[in-house]
Amino acid sequence: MPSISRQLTFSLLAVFVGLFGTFGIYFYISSQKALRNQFDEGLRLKALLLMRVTEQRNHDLRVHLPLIKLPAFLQEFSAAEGRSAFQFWNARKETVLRSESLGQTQLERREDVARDPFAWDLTLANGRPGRALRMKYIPRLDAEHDPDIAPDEVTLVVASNRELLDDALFWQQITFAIGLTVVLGVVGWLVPAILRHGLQPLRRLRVQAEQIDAHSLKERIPTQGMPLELAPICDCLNGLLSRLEHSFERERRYSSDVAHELLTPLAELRSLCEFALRYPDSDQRESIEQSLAILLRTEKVVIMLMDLCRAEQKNARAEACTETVAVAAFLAGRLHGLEAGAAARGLSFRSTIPETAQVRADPTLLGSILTNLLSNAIDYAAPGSEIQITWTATESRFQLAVSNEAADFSRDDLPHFFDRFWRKDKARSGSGHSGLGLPLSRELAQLMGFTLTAESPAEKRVTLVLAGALPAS
Amino acid sequence: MRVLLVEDSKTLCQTVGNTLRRSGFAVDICQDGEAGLWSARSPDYDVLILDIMLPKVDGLTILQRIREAGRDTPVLLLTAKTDIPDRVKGLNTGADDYLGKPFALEELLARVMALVRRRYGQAKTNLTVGGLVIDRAARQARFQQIPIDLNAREFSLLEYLSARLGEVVSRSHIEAHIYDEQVEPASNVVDSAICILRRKLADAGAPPLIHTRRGQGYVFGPDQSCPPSADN
Repeated sequence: MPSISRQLTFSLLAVFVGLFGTFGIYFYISSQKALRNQFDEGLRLKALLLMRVTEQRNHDLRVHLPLIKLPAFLQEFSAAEGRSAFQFWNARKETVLRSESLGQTQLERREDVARDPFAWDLTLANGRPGRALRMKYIPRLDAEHDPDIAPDEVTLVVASNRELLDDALFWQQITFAIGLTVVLGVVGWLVPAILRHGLQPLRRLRVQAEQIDAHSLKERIPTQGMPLELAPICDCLNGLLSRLEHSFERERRYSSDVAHELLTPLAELRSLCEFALRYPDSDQRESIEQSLAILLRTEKVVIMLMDLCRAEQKNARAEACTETVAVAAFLAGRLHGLEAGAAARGLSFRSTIPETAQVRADPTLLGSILTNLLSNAIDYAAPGSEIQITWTATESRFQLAVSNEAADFSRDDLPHFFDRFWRKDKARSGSGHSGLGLPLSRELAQLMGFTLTAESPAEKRVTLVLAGALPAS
Repeated sequence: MRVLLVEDSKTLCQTVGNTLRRSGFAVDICQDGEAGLWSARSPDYDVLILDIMLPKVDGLTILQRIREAGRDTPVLLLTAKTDIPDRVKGLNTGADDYLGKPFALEELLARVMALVRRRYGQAKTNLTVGGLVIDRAARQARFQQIPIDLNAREFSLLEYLSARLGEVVSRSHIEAHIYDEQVEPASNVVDSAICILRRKLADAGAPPLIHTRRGQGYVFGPDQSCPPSADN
């Protein structure tokens, strides 16, 4: 799994190592070169000093070493000390003069290299490592020099012991290696430490988020003191927690309602059976009839629950099979089975649906919705009142409304109309209503692309509105 | 003993009510919280059985109101809400017992009897007075190991009198605790019941245990020389 911390650490380390490495190597090479140049400059000064005491008279080249009033300088070329050496060649490549320190040996002229002056490493006559500089020049002409004779080119090679230079280069290498190691070590420690510190709020956020489980969804991640970049994430997480809390609460309530809805008939069945067994002289047939009624009621609840589950599955939309339905005739068919219940409560129906009204709908689903709406109206309408069924249509949309007076209704009830198992009265059993009819109807309406909403156009009046698109004429 | 059952399920009202009646309890039934609250304020009940989710007024509100009114009638909550927080809330509101649905009628009966015993300060199920053993668990009276043939109401009368051992119990109290709303006792129904009970006890050979206090009522107990004893 990719890690921001690891990725940032590697990136920053690569950048720092690259920068420090490049700079270090550049510095190392530059300083090595500077040391060599400095050494070569020393050789050049020595050569210049020797060149100043060189004179040509006709074809004769003379080197007046005594003119150099620097005993320590001359001492370097002595056989005793032998730290430096020189050798002069004339234009005919004949050695004109060489230092005592060379003993029987010769310095190289390095004629193979044209560049001048030219410096190179060599081994001195005493076996020590040295460095030499070759310079070609035209010597000063003596006062008695014949002007008809052209001056000769003189080659001078000056060499010096380079042990000090090698030591300096060696220690520079050591210093560089140690410095680079220390710097990289510090960077290697500092970068993760800084990142750890910088990413601490993220880690804190993770820990806080980890501590929230299904039982602590009321908790929120504190945004106070949170970095600017993380504050929106916290807000999003808190929003998500809020939605989850709401959802979990709804599911908990739903599970509890399902359990309750099934526990009550179970309790009734159990008590009926136990009573019949305990008192064999009791009316056994009545017990069986009551048990059957309870079973049928429970079966209805279970079937509605299953229908609701199926309707909530999004792919069920594909199963909805629509056809053109003549609404007035269809509604009349549904009312037929409900008239007895309505008459028992002294209710009447008034419908304004024109004969020509048509919708594209699945007849089974539409029938279930209308039966639910009408049953609700019959059961909750004020006794002796009128249930109004109205049809409103524009060019493209329709609204089918079922409206009734409801004495117990309060407008605060509206938001709960489509909650599963919600009933105006919390008492569950014996009412004949499971509290699943309206949620199921709304799901079924959505399957056909319709909407089902609840309104209260007047005090103590409830209107349930089924709305949707009209079929293209 | 008289029980008030407040339960919205008609079936449960019927089965629980009949079971209690057949066990000798007088049972009144309310199917909504409003009527339940009104009835529960009465001091005549020995036990209240309350459902929590009731129409109009819920069971916990009824419980809270009667406790606020100073009623200490034992209350058994009979409900499908069986989660621990629900049980804790019910007991903390003032319930004496809690039974979740579905339940066994036998267990409900045992719990109701336990609440009755507790109400009258009797932890033991058996009471022996003057050699007469009143076995509340078996709903049976015995004298010298021989069971006495008492119907449920007669046993209930004996049980109530024995629960008030040594106290003067008025006729109206007996009426209130032995008869429910289904029975309209005639003016001499208590005297008749006492007379029948006395005769059955005497037939079994038991000494006179029910004594009349003229103008006051009845006292249950042995002669002063024969103190009561209780065993398990």
